[in-house]
Amino acid sequence: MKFTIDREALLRPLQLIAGVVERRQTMPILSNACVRVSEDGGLTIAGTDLSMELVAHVDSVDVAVGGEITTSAHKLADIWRSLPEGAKISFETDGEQAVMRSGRSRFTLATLPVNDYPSGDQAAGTVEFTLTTEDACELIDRVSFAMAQQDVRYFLNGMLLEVTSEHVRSVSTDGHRLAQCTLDKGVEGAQRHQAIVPRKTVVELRRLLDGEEGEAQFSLSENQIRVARGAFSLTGKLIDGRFPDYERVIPRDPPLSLSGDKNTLNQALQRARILTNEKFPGVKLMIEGEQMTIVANNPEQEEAREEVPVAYEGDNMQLGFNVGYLQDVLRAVGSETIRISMAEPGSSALMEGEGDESALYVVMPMKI
Amino acid sequence: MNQQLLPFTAQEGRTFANYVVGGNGDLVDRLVRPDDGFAALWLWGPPASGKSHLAHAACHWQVGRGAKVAYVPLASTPEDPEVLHGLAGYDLVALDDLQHWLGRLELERALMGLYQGLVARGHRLLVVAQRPAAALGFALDDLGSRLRAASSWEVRELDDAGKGLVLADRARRRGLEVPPPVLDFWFARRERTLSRLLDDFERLDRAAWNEQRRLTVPLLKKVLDL
Repeated sequence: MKFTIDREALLRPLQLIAGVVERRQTMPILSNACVRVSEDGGLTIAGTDLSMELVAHVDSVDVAVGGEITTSAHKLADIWRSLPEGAKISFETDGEQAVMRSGRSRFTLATLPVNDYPSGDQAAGTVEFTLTTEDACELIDRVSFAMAQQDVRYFLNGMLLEVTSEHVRSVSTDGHRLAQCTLDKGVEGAQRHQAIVPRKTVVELRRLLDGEEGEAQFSLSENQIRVARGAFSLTGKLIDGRFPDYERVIPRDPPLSLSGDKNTLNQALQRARILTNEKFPGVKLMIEGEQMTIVANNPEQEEAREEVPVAYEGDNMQLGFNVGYLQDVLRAVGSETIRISMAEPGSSALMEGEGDESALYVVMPMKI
Repeated sequence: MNQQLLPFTAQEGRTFANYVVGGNGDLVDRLVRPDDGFAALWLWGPPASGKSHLAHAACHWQVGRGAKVAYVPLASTPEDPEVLHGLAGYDLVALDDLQHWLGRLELERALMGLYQGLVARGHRLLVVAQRPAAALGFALDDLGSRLRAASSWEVRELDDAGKGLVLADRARRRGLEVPPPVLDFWFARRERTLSRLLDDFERLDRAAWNEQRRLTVPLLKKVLDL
């Protein structure tokens, strides 16, 4: 195998593949990326962690001898990143080694045969749809913070993607709060299809969607998600499990409602947070007329008190919340004004940006 | 301050899909068998033997076949003959806890009216009570004789293995597992009626959420004070 390639042509593929491939491996071949070149000038590079696989195609490579090889994904990515911009790199195999030369640099890496490289099965998609990268990013960015991390209820460690003939929707929850983003761009004729995408796949998918605007083709099957974007495709296993019935926990038109300026509230919470208990960062919200007083205490009996104007008509009330949960929502909300509503003090709080129809958030309070 | 949980688990549907059949296989077969014309079934058994679950499941199953059904929990329904008004138009009427309405003439007359209406339309009646019809006293002899003629089925309580399956199934639906040693420990130390075990389970589920833990013997000891 022998070819020459511009540094920039393979830089982004290698960076994405390095995200997928785990640094620590029990099977040496899983640390490797699989590189295939054919004499018509096509190069394919793939990386996997067995739960997902990322494949990139590069055209117009100057190939002298075709072939295929696997070698360390992270070392390749590190070499590519540290070579100067505009560098040309020649890559050739020499026995069981791969040799890269660029200018006055030379690297010799160990290789393993391609035969042993795990290749992902491609299941036929049952639902297929195309989103702009902007829409796809919105689905992820507005809900990903509420995914659970290493929860014993494994189906929470990911993001639900739901497709119907009316919408494409993302939902995440860790049992304390829930985030939902809905795009009114249904898939014609689609039955309600739900897929739970594992946390790591969500992160890598988001990286794949970065950069120039374009389109991404989604394909969901019973146990697999495949997303193709330009020369890249990401195929991942889905989490096998039933996502909680999220619609049940979203309050419908709760009567108690207050609204305020998002940034003012966020800044006040940020300051109050300094004096919360680190382990349980709870704040008390006291709403009296048109004023919300935020009170934070820590075990040292120190106190922070912030006053924020709000629009509210109703009896005085006291609420308790994890300040981090409130701030996560405020960061994800698109509009300037946040509306918080609930059925009664102490019940779940529905948080929405005013005029921002696509996302909603439900945050459970803390018992004061 | 205590973080509250999203109420995902407020009420689970009671269907055949999450019913552990145990010794009630023939009864389940009977409940899903189509009838030509009127049929009356009388289900009886002790508290927490799964009677209401079966009645709900039968209704749910019929709804899935396009039937119009009514489930009336008489124990928590106002004792007013009007409640039954118009129900004869439903393809299946399930009356749960019938014993609560017996012994009062005006209520039994309303039941009798419903019965006759269902007969006339060829619709089905499913009665649930704690005892067989023959062991209950009726104020209205006509109603008594008709209901004693209904097809009578004793709902058999699950054995421990069956209860273990119920708990394991519920746990699985919530994303948890009950390992066999945990189940053995639990059964050896707690009252093993299904309703008590399910109450225990709800407390364990809540603790598992709050403490981010699996169902283990130490968690059981802590939550159930064992």
